[in-house]
Amino acid sequence: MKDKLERIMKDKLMKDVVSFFFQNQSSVDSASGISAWVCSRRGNVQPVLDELVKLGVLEEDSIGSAKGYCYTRDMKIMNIIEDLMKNGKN
Amino acid sequence: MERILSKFNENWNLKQESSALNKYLKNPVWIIIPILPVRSGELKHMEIAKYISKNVKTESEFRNKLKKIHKVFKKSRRKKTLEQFEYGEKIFSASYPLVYDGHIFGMLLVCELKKEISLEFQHVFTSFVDTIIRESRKEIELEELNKTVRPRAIALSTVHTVHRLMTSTLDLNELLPRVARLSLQVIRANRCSIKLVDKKRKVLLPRTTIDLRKEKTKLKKVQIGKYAPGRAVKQGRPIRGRNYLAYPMIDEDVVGVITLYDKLDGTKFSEFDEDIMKTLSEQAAIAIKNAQLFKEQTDLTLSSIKCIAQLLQNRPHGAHRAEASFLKLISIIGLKFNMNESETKMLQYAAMLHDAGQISIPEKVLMKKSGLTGQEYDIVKTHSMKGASILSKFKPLKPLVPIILYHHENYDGTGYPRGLKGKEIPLSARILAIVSAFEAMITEKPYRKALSVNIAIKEVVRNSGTQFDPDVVDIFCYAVRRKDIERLLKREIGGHYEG
Repeated sequence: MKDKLERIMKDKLMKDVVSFFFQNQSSVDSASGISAWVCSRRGNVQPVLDELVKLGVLEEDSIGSAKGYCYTRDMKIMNIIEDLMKNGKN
Repeated sequence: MERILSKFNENWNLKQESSALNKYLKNPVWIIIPILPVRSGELKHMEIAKYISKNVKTESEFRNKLKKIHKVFKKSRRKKTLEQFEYGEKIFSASYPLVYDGHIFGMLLVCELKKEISLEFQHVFTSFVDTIIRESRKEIELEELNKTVRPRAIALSTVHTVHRLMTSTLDLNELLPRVARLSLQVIRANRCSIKLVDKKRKVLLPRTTIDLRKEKTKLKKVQIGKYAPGRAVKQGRPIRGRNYLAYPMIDEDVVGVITLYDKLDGTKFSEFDEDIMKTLSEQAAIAIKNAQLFKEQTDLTLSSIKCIAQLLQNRPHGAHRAEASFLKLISIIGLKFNMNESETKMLQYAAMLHDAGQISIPEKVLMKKSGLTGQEYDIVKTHSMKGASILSKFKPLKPLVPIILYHHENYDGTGYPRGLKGKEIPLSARILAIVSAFEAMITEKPYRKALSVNIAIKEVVRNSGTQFDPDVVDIFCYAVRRKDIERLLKREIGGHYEG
């Protein structure tokens, strides 16, 4: 898992999205909202969000047209991300 | 003032290196002094003292230089202008105050000038410095904005998203786990329990509990007034302990209570958590009330449908049975075609009312034991249009209209009333066509005995591709052979099952 996360965080947008949720762990936001916070286009952010959901870094809650993304509650993943962020390995 | 000075330093170091100013002045020495001391002697503890000490031989010369510079600084500060002076033989220096919001936050000293700065260039010099101060100021304002407005905007966006997620469902069974999940997420807690008020029994009924550490959780009833959730409801205010926070959901009256336990990071619940839960619980209370009202309305609609269906059943042989087996069968088929709950429900309602139009058909036609004449058959064929017309007047049943209108259309286009073909016929109508035909076959009619289930299924299969949609026939065959459906059919039609 750590290797995977290290690898994906070499991508700037991936890192920006993970950093956003790491710094705002209570946040629940839509793809457009997140695009605004990381200063990118929604079209670019959506695949990043899908990938992060697949990896378990983010959780997705959707109903009808409403979709929200939030930070993982998995302590293992949270600790790895914290390490990566603190050590600034990426 | 310290912040603007540090920001100015950052920008100054960055920009003066490459500036034309530097080139024009032939790479002078730049010194920034944060505060101008009252006495010149105090300057010796500052960066400027290092510069002076390099160029003097005696202590008194050092003191004199300090005094000279201090005097120019004072003049420059008082006049808020650029002041130049001869520092040594044919070596010039200039002092310029750094002003922010009318206050001087530092002094800029330019040393090692080979000549005085010309009057024309003084303007360029001061504009350059002032521009950097303005830039530094903008950066500070932007940082302030980021520090204060951004977190609020992020929180507001969260509230908006949570609101959208909560109000996107009117099904309590879906809504409550969602509220629990969102509360856990926003507060970053390990466990969330939602209890709703049962006013009659004065208790809190557990509706959902999510514990991130356990797969199974116990749902316990709580007396109003007891424990944190009970007290929160009784007192109508949040009850907070180190490891729990019970927040009542209030919308005019108390709807229930959301209780959170054990923060993920082990810290205690704070006032800030209470503030967040205030918004969240208000939204949840409204969403729950809406869902409860919707359920009441749905129940009312269902009661009306049951009532109409009962009236239809009381007509001799004019009505269908609408037994539980058919409703279950129809729901299984609908789900197999990825219909949502509301679509499946409408399909079930349609199954209960699909022959409502028969109410306008004379009893003698319905009861006729011999074959129908052409004219009589034409009358019978009007029942789907008449049924659709009757139901279209009842607003909650409008989605049923196309299902009932087209449930006698045949897949090959030979049905009525419009002669629609294949996928032109709505899916729900294609499903109802099979189930209602199957239902009719296994029900005794005035003109024939009931067929056995097996024969009726064979008959459905025989008409696949002509009367019925083959895809729906396949699913029907799977559904009707399910053990639960077989059990229900045996119970409801008894001896007719085997024929």
